[in-house]
Amino acid sequence: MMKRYLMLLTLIIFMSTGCGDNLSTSTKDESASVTTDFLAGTWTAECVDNTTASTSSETVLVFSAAADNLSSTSTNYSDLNCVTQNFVIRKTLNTLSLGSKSTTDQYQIMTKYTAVVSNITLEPKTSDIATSLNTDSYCGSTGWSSGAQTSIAGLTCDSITYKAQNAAYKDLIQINSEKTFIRLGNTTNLGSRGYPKTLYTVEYFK
Amino acid sequence: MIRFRVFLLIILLFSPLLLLAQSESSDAEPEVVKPEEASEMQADEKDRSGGSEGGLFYSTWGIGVQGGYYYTNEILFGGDVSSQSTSSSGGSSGTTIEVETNIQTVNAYARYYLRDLEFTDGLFGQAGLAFRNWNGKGTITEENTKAKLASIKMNWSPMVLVTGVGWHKVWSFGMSTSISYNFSAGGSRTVEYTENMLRFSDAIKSNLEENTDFPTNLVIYIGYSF
Repeated sequence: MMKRYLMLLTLIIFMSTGCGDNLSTSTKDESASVTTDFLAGTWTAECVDNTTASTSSETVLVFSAAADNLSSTSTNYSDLNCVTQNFVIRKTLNTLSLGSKSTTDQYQIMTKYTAVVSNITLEPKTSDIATSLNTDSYCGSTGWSSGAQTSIAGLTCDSITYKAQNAAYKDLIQINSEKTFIRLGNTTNLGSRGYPKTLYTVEYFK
Repeated sequence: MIRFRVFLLIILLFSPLLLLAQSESSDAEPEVVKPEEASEMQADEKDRSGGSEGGLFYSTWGIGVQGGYYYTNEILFGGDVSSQSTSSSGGSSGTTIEVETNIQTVNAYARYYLRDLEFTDGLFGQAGLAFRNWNGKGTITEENTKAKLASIKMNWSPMVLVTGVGWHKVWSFGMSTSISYNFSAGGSRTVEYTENMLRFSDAIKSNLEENTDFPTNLVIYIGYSF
């Protein structure tokens, strides 16, 4: 009788050696690469409303043919549907150089780039806005006038300090694998190496 | 070489069962059942040689049908077919996660019952082969843009060795129930990660790999013995 139980025990020991399936894994990187050819041209974001402030904004990016210059134009509107212009902020970057593919802390795949700030300007689009900026001494200036661009590079306006002219600029570009849109980094949230830690959720379409 | 290893495994797997069967014939002493004792015998204590049974079961690997033939009172040859398909969709933080799994298994096995003692009556060990059509896939997409963030594909090898232990009860009116716990060995699975806009962290990978490993199979069966 004992012999049978010993044999059953043998079976159970054999069973316990069964440790499931051998695992083999592979990882395919199907993320799209950001190239200068791909970037060259005009990229437009959809109108983004700010229901709290009852305003909206729209940004257009223009990369030069070699994608070594970038002009970013952000227009702020006094309504929620991007109809009536308040002011325009223009940022121009030179010597843009694409870096390597990397990941954010949230494991989002993106490409780093560096550039040099050429200029950052603010243009009030109405006299009411210009008056308001003068009253508030916005960016420390009282010379605002409707339709005139004033450089705000190196100045602190509200809580934002803009980079000075010729300052190094670091940002991120994310592209979807279908290559239909790009996103930029959140330059108000920089990491220790000067690159944004996160990405803006706004998509730019060609 | 691979065939030889599989053959060796099968021999190793079945050898305990064969030894059990042999020991039954060599060690068993002749038993004389008195007429008054025979009348008190329950249906689950009778000799089942040549009998059959069939029924349904619920298991970790799916729901299915099971059948068996008693080659002797102690040895049953059985088989079962099970299937389980799942599909789910969810998401968080602006992403949508869709997962599909398809698990179909055909299992053939030999079972040995320990009949001689009252407290072990119905206790059995079994071993066999499972033929599997198991696969799964998952995709993560952005909710607003529908852009693909990442995806996963999983495939399991088509054949695996399965051993197990269980307990089987047959009532006098023919109803038959069993519960068994099985282990698989010798199989393999592949997990293919595809990264589009999102990298898989090591923690996510190991978590997913742990949660999609099914080395054991709990089977709860109910059927009819005839």
